[in-house]
Amino acid sequence: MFVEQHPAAALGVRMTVVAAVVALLVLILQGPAEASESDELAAMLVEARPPTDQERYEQAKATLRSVRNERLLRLHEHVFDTGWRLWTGTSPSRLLSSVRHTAKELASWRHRSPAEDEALEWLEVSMEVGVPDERSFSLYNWLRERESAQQLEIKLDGAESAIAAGHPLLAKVRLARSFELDPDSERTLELRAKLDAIAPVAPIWLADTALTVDPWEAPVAAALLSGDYRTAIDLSPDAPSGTFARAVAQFLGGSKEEAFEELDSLSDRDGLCGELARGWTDLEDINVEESFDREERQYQVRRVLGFVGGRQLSTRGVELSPVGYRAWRESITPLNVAVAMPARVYSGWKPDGDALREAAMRYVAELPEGARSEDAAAWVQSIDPAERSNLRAWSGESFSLPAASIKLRLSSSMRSSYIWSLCRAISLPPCSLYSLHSGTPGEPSNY
Amino acid sequence: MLKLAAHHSLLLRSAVCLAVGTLAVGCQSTRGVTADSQDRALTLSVAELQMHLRTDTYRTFDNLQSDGRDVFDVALWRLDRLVELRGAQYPQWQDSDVVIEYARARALERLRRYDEAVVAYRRVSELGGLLAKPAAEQLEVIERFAAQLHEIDPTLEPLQGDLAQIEASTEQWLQLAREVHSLPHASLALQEAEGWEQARVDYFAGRGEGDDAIAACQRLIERHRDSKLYPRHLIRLGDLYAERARRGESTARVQRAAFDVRKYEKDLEQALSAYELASETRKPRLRREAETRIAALLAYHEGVRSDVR
Repeated sequence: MFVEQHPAAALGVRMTVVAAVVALLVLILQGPAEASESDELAAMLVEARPPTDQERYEQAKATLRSVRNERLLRLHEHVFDTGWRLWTGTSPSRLLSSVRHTAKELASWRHRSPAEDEALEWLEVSMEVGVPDERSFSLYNWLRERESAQQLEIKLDGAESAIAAGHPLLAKVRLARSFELDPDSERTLELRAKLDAIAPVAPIWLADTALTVDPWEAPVAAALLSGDYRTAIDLSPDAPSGTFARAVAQFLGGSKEEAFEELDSLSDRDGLCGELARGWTDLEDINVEESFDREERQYQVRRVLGFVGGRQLSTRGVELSPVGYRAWRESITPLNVAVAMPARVYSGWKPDGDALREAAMRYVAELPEGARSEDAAAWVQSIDPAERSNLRAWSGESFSLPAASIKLRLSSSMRSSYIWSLCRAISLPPCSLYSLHSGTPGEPSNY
Repeated sequence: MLKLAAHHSLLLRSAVCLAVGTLAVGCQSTRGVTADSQDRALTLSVAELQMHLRTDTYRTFDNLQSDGRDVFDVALWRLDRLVELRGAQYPQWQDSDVVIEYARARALERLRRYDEAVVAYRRVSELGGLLAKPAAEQLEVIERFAAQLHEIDPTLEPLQGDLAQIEASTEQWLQLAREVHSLPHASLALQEAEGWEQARVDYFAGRGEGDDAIAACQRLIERHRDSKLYPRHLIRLGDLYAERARRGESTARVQRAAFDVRKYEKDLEQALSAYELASETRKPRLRREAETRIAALLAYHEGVRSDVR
């Protein structure tokens, strides 16, 4: 009845049947599988619960452990590196660098890591809402103590730098917080004492001065106060206070050189008189000669430094501080030395000469016949008045602000996205916004 | 035994009395004041004060020491201390007491304590002697300042006050400054006028009238271009523009109105421009203040941009 089939055709038919059966089975089984996956997801969502205290503890420990392991690994690397360099007889500088890294890693072993903050966040919930077990509690306390100790250090360092920078108010606030963090901290007490010592106190005066009034004093003081400087000069005795009064009278009477000679003669003295004389001699608007010399020196130094390292080195290079060191380090680069430095020398780079110009102007005004008045006049002419750009704001007597040189950096694409987003936020068609400007709808105006 | 205890108690009490007495004497004595010192307190105080009196307190900060104290405040403190230590009662004054009082009056007028300065000048001029004539001349001027001060309602709060009175006070002080322009006192009158102009800005700003506040600040800057506070006024102007920019942005959000980006940017530019001008001052603290404002405004602007991305 059946026609005998070719074996190959029979094989093909069988394979097709088997494939169809397998496909059918897959189709039948796929539905329940998907159903069970969504069931699982649903169950997970329904059963979603916050981690238990135990889980939180484990998570916190795991976080700390991972960082500890990372540190160990790093330390191992450094030790191995040091040993290898020692073994291979590498250069001393490389060996030193490797040893330094190892020492640094060891020194920072007990420092807090960001992982401790993460661990604290895991544990904090247990402390606030749950009844923590003994282990969580002790770990939490240990971490909190370390955090407080670190905060205390930060506050105290901040207070110290605030004192050094002359911000007693800020130092006071920081010390108050330090005291809250640890009332027994010795460093807090030390810094508080230091702050008290520099806090504004009544100005020290009358120290080492005579309470009694000599007969010559009232007439001299009266002559000074009434502006009768000739009389003040004539009546002042050669005693130190009299010399100071005479110097003041000479200065205010226009004899500045004589006044400085008198003040110089007092400068070496101890006591208040010497202190006052030194204070006035140092003032720029008083001692124009000294101030001009100093500014000129500084200008020359800044100019040379500027040739070498540009504005940064010119400004910071003379400082004996990390900032000064950084300025030098960043300036001495091959590119700068090879390209920028010759360019600056060629173009005649100049530092900001405002201070020198002012000092020179004062010199010319105060001592027109002075020994260096020609030099001062030359400086006044050679240094441009630095385009005092606040003059740009004035036209005659009226004031109008010039365009800001800090551009707002709103690119047109940003602007259009800004407008589109705003329109979306306030449910307006974008064209209504553009209609406010000169641009056409759908195209951002160029503002 | 009882006798020994009583003896110990007596010793203890004596020691305590001695300690308290020493402490009291130590506290009362003036540190370092000696009768035979060569440095004369009166001469040095007056000579230094006379040097400081050259300071134009309207145009410069030279009257402020590095620790922030006013040199005239310090001078007054010294002179008051001298008066206290001398203990002479008015009018039984010697020449030196008169000189001290005159010096006090000069310091007081620079501290804009006109009423007290008037009293001091009056005493000196009434007593006659060395400084009677200059005191009478100074008194004439300072009495005008004191009278001007009394014309202003002392209860006036610039923020809630009467605008007309603020305007009147400003004009009166400016008028006085013009009248005494050849005297050093003109600086004091200008300082007073400047203070009222600032109050006028605060008046408008406090009421949220941004445009008027900006106009008032522009006027303040125009009228007090030479003031030492010029950079500070520029910073204030920048603040007002920045505030207007912020207000425009937040108003657009709540009122569902179209946000005027062009106006926002213009205000922002004006604010930055004002801060930039202010940052060109040579006073490092003011420069830092202006630079911080620029940074803060740019950060705000970045925030506005990122909000809508």
